[in-house]
Amino acid sequence: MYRIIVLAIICVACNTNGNHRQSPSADPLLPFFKQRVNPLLQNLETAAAKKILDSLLPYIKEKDNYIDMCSWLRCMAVVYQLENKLDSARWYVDRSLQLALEKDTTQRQILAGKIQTADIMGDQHSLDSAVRYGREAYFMAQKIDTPGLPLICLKLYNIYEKIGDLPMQKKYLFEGFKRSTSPKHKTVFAVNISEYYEKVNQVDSALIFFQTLMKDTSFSNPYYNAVRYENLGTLLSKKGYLKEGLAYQLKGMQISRELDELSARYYYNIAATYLKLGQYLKDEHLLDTALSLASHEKNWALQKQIWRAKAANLTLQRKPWQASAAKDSAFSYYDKEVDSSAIGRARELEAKYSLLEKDLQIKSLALSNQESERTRERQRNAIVQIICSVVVLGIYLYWVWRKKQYKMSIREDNLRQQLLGGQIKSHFLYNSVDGLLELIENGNTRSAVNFIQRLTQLLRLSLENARQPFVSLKNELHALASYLTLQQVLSGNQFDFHIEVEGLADQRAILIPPMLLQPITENAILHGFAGQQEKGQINILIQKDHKALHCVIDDNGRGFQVAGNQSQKRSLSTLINKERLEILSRQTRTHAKLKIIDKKETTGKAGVRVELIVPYQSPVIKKNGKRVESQQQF
Amino acid sequence: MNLTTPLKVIIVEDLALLRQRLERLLQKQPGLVVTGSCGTVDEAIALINNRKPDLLLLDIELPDGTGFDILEQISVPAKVIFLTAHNDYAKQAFRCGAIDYLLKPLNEEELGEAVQKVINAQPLLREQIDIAGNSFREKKVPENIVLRSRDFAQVVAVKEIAYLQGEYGYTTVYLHDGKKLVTTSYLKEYEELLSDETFLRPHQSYLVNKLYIDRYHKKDSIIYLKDAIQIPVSSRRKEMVDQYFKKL
Repeated sequence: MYRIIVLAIICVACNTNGNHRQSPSADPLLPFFKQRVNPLLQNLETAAAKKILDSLLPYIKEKDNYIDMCSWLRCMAVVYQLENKLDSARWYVDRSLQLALEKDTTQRQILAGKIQTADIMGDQHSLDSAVRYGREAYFMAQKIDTPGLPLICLKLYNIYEKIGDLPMQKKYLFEGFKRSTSPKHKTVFAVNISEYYEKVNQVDSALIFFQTLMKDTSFSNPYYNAVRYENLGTLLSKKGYLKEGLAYQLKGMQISRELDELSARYYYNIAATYLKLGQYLKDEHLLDTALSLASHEKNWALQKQIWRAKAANLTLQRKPWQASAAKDSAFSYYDKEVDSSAIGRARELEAKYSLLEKDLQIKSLALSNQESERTRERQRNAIVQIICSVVVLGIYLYWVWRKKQYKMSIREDNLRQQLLGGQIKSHFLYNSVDGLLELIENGNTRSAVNFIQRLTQLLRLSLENARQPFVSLKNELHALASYLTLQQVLSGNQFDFHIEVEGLADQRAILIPPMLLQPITENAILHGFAGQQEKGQINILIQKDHKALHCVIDDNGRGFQVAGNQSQKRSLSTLINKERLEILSRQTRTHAKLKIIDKKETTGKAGVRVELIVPYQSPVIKKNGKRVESQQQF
Repeated sequence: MNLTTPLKVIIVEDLALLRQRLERLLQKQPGLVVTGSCGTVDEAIALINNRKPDLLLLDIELPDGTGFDILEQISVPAKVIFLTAHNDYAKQAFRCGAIDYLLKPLNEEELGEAVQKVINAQPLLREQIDIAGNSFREKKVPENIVLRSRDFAQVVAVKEIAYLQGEYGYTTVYLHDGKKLVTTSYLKEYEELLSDETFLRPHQSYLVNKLYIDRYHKKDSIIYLKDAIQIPVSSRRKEMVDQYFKKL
C-alpha cells in the first residue's frame, strides 16, 4: 500500500518538477501528463496509460522537445516498472537519461532520470548502483532543486532499507521529513518513521518523536493529522498509557473516517488498546470489523494477527473453544500468508517467465516469418532465374540448332554436288584413259593430243567447278562441250551435238550451278544412243529469261521405250538433278523446273526432250571492277 | 592348250573406242580369237547364244544393265573376266563371289596374265555369279560368300566363319565346326570385305569373328574363342582391342 503511494508520488514529483522548470508559456503537455496519465498510474491501470502514451508519441516526436521526450520516456519507464518489467523500464529510463545528458542544460531532466534509475535499480536489487544514482541525484538536488529533495530522501531511505543500513535510513527519513512541505510527503515520512522505530523497537524514541510532532502546530493537514494521532495513540497504548492512547487513536480514526481512509490496521490497533483496557466485547467487535476489512484488503498477515488477537481476547473471556478455533484460523491464515507469498512469488516468477517466453516466441516467430519470407523470396528469385536461363538457353540452343541445320543443309548440298561431280569424274576418267591409250597405241597422235587437251579442259573446269556452288555459264558450256567431244571420241562418233545460246551477250555474267546439263546429255548418250544403228544427235538450246535460263536438251535416241534397269538409271540421275534444282530454287527463291518429255508421245518421233528452268545469279562486282569469278578463259 | 582350236572370245564393252582396244589387245594373245563384240546387254545375250564363246570379257556397267544380267540369262558355260572402271561395289561383289576382274584403264600385261589364269581355271559356278550379282545389286556383303582356292570354290555363310589366318598370300578360313579352308586371297581382302561390326583384327595374321570370342585375357594379350582356341593380340593392335572390349 505504501509502495503504491510512493510510486504515485514519484510520478507526480517528476512531472511536477518538470512543470516547475517549464516557463509559463510552455505547452499543455505536462499538465496533460499530470491530469490524465498520473491517475491511471496511481490506479495501476498501466494498459490504459500505455495506450495514451503511445498515442502521444507521434505528437512528441513532431514537437521534438527533449523535455517532453524525457518526460514521456520516464512515464513509459514507470508504466513498465508498475508492470514489473524492469528491463524495459530500465531501457526507457536509460534513454531518457541519455537524452537528458545530451541536451539538458538545467540538469533537471538529468536529476529526474537519475532518481528514476536509482528507483528501478533498487527494484532490480542492484543496490550499489541504486545508491550511487540516488546520491548523485541527492547532491544535484541540493544544488538546484530543494523542493525535490524529500522525494530523493525517500528513495534513498527505500534503498537503504533494502540494504538494511539503519542509521542511513534514519538519516534520510528525518531529512526528508524536515524538508517535506506537502501533507502527503509529510504523512508518508511520518508513517515511515513510526515504522522505522517499530522496527528497531525504540518505542520511546517514536513516542518522543510523535509527541514533538503534536506540539508542532506549524503544519496541519487532515491526512497528516490522522497519521499523527493514530501513531501517537498506538505508541501510547503500547507504552501502557491506555486512556491517553485510546483518545488519540479515536481522534485519528475520526479524521480518517471523514477522509474515508479507514483501514483494518486502525481497527486492529484500537482493538489492541481496548483489550488492554479489559473491554473485551468492544475489542472483539473491533477485531471483527478489522477482520472483514483485512479480508477485503487481502492482507493475510494482518488477518493472522487479528485472529491471534481474537484468540487472546476469547481466552481472556474464558471461551476456550472459540479461542482455539480463532487460533486455528490464525494458524490457517499464517499458512495462507506463507502460501500466498510463496505462491505469489511463484506466480510472479511464472508470469515473468511466461511473458519472457512469449516475447521470445514472438521474436522467434517474427524471425522465422522473416526467414521464411526471405526463403520464399529467394525461391521465387531462383525460380525466375531458372526460368529465364532456361528460356535464354532454349533460344540459344534453338539458334545454334537452326544455324547448324542451315549449315548442314548447305554442306549437304555442296557435298552432294561435289560427290556427284567426283563420281562422274572417276568413272569417266578411267574410261577416258583407256580410250586415250587406244588412240596412242593405234598411232592416232593428232586425235590423242586433241583428246588430252579436251580431257584436261574438262578436268580443270570440273575441279574448279566442284569447289564452287556457282560457275559462269561460259565455263559450264565449255566443260559440257569438252565432255560431249570426249564422249563422241570414246563412242566412236556415235553421235553429233550442237550447242546454241540465244540472246546472251556475256555468258560470263550468268552464274549457274555446275554439272546440271552434263548428266542429261550423259543419259542421252548412254541410254538413248547405245545399241542404236543410226547416228545420234543432241541439240542444246539455251535462252535467257528475266531471272532464269531456259534450257532444252533434245535427242533422237531410243526414248523411254526400254523398260527395266535402264529407265531406273535414268530416273536416278533425274532425281538427283531435280533435287539439285530444288536446292537452287530454295537458295535463290526463284522458280526452277525439270521436265522430261518422251517425244514419241507428243511428236511421234523417237527421242527425249528435257526442259530446264535454271535460276541464275549475277556475279558480284569487286572494287577493282573485276568479277569475283576468276575462271580460266578459253 | 590346243593350238588348233583357239578359244573363242566375246567382248562386251559399251564404249566403241575401248572395245576396239580390247579386240586389238586380245588378238595379240596366243590361242585366242575374238569372235564378236558388242556394247549392250541385249546384244551380248544374242551374240553369246549365237557364237557360244569360251571366254567372255564383260564390262560390269552397261547402258542397259550389268555384266551379271548377261551371265544370268545365258545358258552357255563360259569363263569370264570382268572389267570395271573403279567401282567399289563392283569390287566388293567380285570378292564375295571370288571372281577375277580387271580394272580399267587396261594394262596389256595384266590382261595377258588374267587371260592365262582364267583359261586354266574352272568355269564360274552359278553360286558365284548369283552371290556376286546380288551383292552388286544390293550394294552390300551377302550372308554367304564364296571361298576359292586353285582347286575348289565353296560357299560359306559369313556367320559360320570363326576366324581367318593369313600367311604368305594364302588365307586359312577356320569355320566354327572345325573345318578349315585354304584360299588364295590375302587376309587384307577379307578384312576389307567383312565388316568391322562382326570381325575384329587383333593381329596382322588374324581376323576374328566377334560372335565366337569367349573372353579376352588382357594381361597375356590373348583372345580365347569359344572352343578354347587362342588368338594372339599384337602390341600394335592391343590398344584398339582394349578399346573394343572396354566398350562391350
